[in-house]
Amino acid sequence: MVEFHRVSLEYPRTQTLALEEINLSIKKGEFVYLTGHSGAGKSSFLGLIIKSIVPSKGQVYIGGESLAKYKGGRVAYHRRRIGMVFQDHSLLDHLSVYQNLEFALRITDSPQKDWNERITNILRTVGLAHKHKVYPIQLSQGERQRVAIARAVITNPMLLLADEPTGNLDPDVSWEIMELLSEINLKGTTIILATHSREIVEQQRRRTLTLRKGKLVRDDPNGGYAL
Amino acid sequence: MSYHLRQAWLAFRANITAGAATLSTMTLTLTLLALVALVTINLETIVRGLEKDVQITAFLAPAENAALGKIQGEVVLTQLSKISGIEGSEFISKAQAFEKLKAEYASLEGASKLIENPLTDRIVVRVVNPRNVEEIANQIKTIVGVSQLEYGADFVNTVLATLETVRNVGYALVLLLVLNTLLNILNTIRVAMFARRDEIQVMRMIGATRGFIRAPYVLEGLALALLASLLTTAIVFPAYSAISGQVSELVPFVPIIKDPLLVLQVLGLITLLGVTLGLLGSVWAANRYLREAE
Repeated sequence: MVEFHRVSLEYPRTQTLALEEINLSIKKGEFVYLTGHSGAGKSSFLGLIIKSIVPSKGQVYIGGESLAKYKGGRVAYHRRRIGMVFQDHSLLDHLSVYQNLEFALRITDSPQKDWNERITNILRTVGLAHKHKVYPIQLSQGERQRVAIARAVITNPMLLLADEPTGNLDPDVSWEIMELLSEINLKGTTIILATHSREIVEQQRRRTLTLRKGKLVRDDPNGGYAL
Repeated sequence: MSYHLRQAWLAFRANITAGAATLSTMTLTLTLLALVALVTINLETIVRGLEKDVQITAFLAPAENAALGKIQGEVVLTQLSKISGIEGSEFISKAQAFEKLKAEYASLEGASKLIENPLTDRIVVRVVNPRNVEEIANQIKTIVGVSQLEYGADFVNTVLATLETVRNVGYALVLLLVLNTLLNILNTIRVAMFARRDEIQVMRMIGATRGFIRAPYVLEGLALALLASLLTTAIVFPAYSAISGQVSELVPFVPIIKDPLLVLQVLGLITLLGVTLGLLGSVWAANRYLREAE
């Protein structure tokens, strides 16, 4: 599903080596934690997968295809295969919950006749069917993050990237979000979750990748937190 | 499309001051452009009229009789045909010239019976480019049989040079205004996109194509340009009709264009230019913003 072949990333402006010689492979259906201190390279790692940045060296492969081949419009189509969840949820505040999900379907050219059914189903899955008319500002942090997850998966992506999705949430709500992500993973979606939450990594043990100063220092299939 | 139109309206409403600034600048630019274009067309008509009048009259040396005069004329015509830059030449005998003079001045009719025809045979030469009249005249002077030349080079050249300067200043002004309009559109679209940067960022992340992101802003640019063009037509058409009517009354010998169809054609071209500017400016601004955001 995701392969990194000797990938290095240097930001030319600051001459910072964000990632160095990363080699790894993530299989379809896996749920992987990506851990490391702030500045370890977690966001750069995710950025390479959605091609918001390109590696200085090496190749990133998604579904067996090198991302180096993707230019212009193909990058947009590539991103449609991937769902993204951010720490700040990035919902559009002037749109209701329903409209935020509709927005994702419109952008990805999904057939309009299916929109209502898909939105209703996904809102049921995240437990917010009763709040479809509400605006993000009227929701709690946890509810907003659930809407963000709904938006990320409504287009049925093969891969879900979550960048510190529980970063702003209290522990109980964080667990609700983790439960939701586990359900999505059980339905077959590959998930890469960047986090520095020791609790999450320790309590739901999964394959864990640890980055330190841009280097992959640990790839533990049994999981566990170690920086 | 209705989605993009709604988004374009929202983008315009969110930045109403920037939009209004662009609309007024663009209307002003297109209005000035239309006026410069109409003045230029009028100047071209005047210049063409003047150019038609530019001719050289080569007076021939007096001949003993009409037959010899005609032979001399044919010899000079042959020489003239070797000079480049001449559109055509016509031999006019002294008798024909006198008849023409009498036709123009009726009072000469009576006097002609008392005096002998004082005129000489002549050849009227029309030049291709009035700017070369001096150079051609100098060549004609050297032809045997030509005694004297007459042409209004100084006046015509001065008028042509003045009109050309006016026209060039107009073009330079228009070029600056077009550039200003383009920059205004660029700025408006940039401000509109910056105001919705979060939305654009989300769109990019979830796989919106550049075309999809760009569409409302391009529509906004186009709509502003179209509106400015319509306002320009609404201002210029009645204004020009009124001004041209008054100028015609004041100086009836100056050929002013008054054909409403021609004026509308000019305004149609201005609209086309405005819409092109709107399209180019907004596409350029949107592409630049998206490139920078990546």
